[in-house]
Amino acid sequence: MKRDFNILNYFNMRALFLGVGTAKILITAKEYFLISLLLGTLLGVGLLFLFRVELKNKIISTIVASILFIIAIILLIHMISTMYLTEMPKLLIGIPIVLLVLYIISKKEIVLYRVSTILVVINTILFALTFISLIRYVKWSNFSYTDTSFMKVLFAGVQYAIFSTVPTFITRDKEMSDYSLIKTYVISSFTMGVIFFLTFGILGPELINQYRYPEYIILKKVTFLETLANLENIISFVWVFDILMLLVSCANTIKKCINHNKITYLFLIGILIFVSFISKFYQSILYVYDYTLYILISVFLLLYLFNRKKNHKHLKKENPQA
Amino acid sequence: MNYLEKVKDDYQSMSDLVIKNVKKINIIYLESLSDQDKINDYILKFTNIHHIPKDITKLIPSPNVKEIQKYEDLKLFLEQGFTIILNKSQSIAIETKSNLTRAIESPNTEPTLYGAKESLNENFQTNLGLIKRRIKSPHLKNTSSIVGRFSKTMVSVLYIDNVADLDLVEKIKTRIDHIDIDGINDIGELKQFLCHDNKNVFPAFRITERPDMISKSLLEGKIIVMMDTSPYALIVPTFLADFINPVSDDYGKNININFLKILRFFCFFLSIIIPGLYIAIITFNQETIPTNLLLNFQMQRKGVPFPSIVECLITLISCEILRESDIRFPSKYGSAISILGGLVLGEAAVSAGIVSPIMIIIVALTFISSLIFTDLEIMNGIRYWRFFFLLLSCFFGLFGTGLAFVFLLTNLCSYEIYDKPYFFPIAPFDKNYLKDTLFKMHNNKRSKLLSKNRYRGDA
Amino acid sequence: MKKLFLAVLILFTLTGCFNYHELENFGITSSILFDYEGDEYKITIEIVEKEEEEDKQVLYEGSGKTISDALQKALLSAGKKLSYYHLNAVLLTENVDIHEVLLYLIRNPQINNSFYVVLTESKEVYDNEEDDLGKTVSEILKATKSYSFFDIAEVLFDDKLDMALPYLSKELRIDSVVPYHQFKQLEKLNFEETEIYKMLANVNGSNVDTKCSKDKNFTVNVNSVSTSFKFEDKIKTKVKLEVSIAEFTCDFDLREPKGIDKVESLANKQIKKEIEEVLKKIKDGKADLFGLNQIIYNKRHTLDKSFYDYDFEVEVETHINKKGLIY
Repeated sequence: MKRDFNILNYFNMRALFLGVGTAKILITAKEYFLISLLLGTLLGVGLLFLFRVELKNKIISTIVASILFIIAIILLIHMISTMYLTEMPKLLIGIPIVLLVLYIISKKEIVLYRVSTILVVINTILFALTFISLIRYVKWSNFSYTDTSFMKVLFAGVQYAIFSTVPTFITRDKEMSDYSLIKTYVISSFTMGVIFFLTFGILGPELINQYRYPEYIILKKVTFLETLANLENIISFVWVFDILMLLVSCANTIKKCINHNKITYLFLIGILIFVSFISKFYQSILYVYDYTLYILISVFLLLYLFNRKKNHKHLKKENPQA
Repeated sequence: MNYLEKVKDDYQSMSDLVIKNVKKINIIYLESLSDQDKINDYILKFTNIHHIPKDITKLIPSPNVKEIQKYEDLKLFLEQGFTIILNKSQSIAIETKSNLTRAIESPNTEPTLYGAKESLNENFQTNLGLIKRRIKSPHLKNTSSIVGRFSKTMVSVLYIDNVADLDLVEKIKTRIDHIDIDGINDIGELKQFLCHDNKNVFPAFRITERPDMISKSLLEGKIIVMMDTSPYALIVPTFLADFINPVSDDYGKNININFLKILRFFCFFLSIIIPGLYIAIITFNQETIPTNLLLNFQMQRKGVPFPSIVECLITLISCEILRESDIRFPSKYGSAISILGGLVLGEAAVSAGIVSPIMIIIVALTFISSLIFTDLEIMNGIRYWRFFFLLLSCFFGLFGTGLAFVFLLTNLCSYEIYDKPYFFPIAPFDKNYLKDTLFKMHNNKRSKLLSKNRYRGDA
Repeated sequence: MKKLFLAVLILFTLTGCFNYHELENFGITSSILFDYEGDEYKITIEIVEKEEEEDKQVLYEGSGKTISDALQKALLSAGKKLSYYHLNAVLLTENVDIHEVLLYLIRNPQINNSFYVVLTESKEVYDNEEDDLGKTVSEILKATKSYSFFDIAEVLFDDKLDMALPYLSKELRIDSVVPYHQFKQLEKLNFEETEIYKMLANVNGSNVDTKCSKDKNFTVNVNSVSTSFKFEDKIKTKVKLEVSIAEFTCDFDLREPKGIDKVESLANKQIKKEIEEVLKKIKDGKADLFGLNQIIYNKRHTLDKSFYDYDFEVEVETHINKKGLIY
């Protein structure tokens, strides 16, 4: 069981990188992105180790989970509206996503972990295929000198740590084992590092600035046997599954806090209607792009203030002395 | 002791009731259910003596003699083919059942090239004998209970004592005892009572008619339910991986068989996904197809008046009609019907301009990959999901196909029969059961979920 | 829960599908030609169809003040939904402002990434009655250094880099290459200079002709080439070639190593001379076709002096590894 928890967190750690994280980190850190990735991993491991959170204050947990839900669903709907279904109104795109989330949380909790086990395998296979077909397009001349200061590299590391660790605090529970969580974190950092490497190596420092979804653009180069080209719509399911699992974990937390099933469903449908009003304006994705980091930091502080886990070991040690 | 009067009263208008009076004892039997030779051998020969003793059991050499305590027991024995002997102080029943069933034939729903060619038939004792020939151990237990007010069929539960999970056996037994129904005809009806989650389209139990399949399941720790007058047996609990592999996989080399096993597993998903994927690619995401192929498709679709989705639905539904009629029709006329079906769906529809040739290829591929499974229930289950995928792909394209795939996974993972998950060797990952079913390798242990006795070895 | 699900599904059958396009109304574009004449863009679109095992080509034209206007007018006469996912070639004439056209192409989300960009004279290139002109052009361009989607994107957004587009004549021949500097056209390179340019750009298949005496010459065919540029007060060019002999009428004896050495040294001298000529031409035009500015920036960390302020030093190494069946 303990292993299963952390498979769900594997998706949570990678979900917010889709349009917002990758581009920001690569633009800030330019060719020193590997260093900022290492710094971010170390910082993230420290954050996971030191801050423990449990589900105490229900109102705060609901608010935090719904904020993350809104960010994630705006990202997903915007991505699908740009890539797959360009002419559909955004409310209609959001409906099957929310229906799927509602269907999954209406089952038992163990089902969630079984589904994520299978999706991890599918993700890894697709990822390995893309890596093999894209590695020959990496140009070493793209890793050339650009003018970046050390402060920017550090800032990119902090960004990486915040983006990847804050979603995991939503689903942390009492039965977590710390060491397997850190193992999962290191593996997900490794996969993100490979994605960064491929993106930067193929596009170069100038083009990264121009595209909103650079990790999607490089998928246009994948060809198999010179006939099957343009497979980017099939391979980008890797990110759809990531964000879906984050949505499901947030909805699960909301369901635990509000114990009533029907009120949870109505709440989530209400969030969908709210999001569909917002995403009519293109400025919404721009706000998410610019201010996500600060929203996540404030959410993290809120969680820590109200839901701090007290260490029972210290209390037990004091008692025999008295 | 007025049994004679009561029997004459109750069975008044039955033409096959025979009552014989020989030297102050009454012999009662039903002619349709009893064997005349046995009655002669066991009873009538020995009544030719002068003095019939008080205890008739010493006289009769029959192997199965039972004493009757109550009138209900007498009725039960009479209806099962026993002969009742009524004396002044004693009433006994002697077994003289006639053999009203067919001989042991080769299996016709699960044929294989190699392996035993015996199958179960409608007689319960024959079936039990076929199984006990394969498992000769005192640990093989079988219980029995009676189901049905009018039919009074015998239902039996088999399990191996030190291998199977005894809690599960108890649950099944209590469920069978609680069945309250007029009559039960086949083991398929018993399935509805044993399974409490009837909303899922996938079959919960596996039906088999091969005794070697039964003995293999018993040795893994599964439980068998058998019924009189039914040539099939139920295997409980079942997982998705069991439906995909026939029993003759054990009789071949591991390396060669593994390729076929992986192929069959992919065929399960392939036959669900292909029509939806085709519609999504042709109408929403045309960039995935290479240019030359796309030009060919465009040329073929020129004369067709319907949109792609309507064409797909027409072809799928007519294929279902064809398959259903193929099963029902007697086999002597069968070959002409399938030729007609092939002609109708193939050449004529294309040249009349109703469907395009590529659609026929896609639907043919779908049906061929679904015919790999021997169980009819799974094919019925796959049909619903095929239409669901088609619907979502038609509205949302490739994105819809992906979402429908996650729906399917959730549905399979949440289906549990007696608390054992349906997608078992994959979703809660279990190496030992995987080595038996989906990827055959040498394996010494039994799986944790089915039995507490992990190691093979002690008989 | 189930009733909600059913209600939503029924809702979908009433709304209609937005991205659903039938294949018959689909126009598979193979190539586009952009022309600019008299303050107006003139665009020709080539759509390919198939009728009974033969490809058929249909042309649609439109003109307007901006690119979108012209494309819209062409669409009106086509009556189909255009798809740029199978685009093979984009043809531009010399009057067109390349910057604007390429930016338009890159912004479009529904375009594939393997089309080639070529310069051509005029619309008469379509009169060659080829079945599928775009595909023919893309097959021809695989033999030279050509620019596809990502290469164009790099040049568009990097100030330091320039490009050289191949030039397609009316009879469908790639005779010359046109270098650009900041999207302004420079002098064309002729056929021999194009071969040298191919060598410098790491493309195999050039032919070099060398004279050994008055009427006798030999030709070598380049099998593999690797060019590297280094910067240390001067720009050092090192070209390593592996060649095979195609024509040979000289007096040297190829059975002995000395003969082969002599052939190699003659080839080295000739190639070095030609490379220096081409580099001088490029230097005069100030076109950075090989990324030299980036190499200088890596070393010096400033770009106050561009690559044309430095001298070139060329070094050529030829290795003959195949000579054909006879000596």
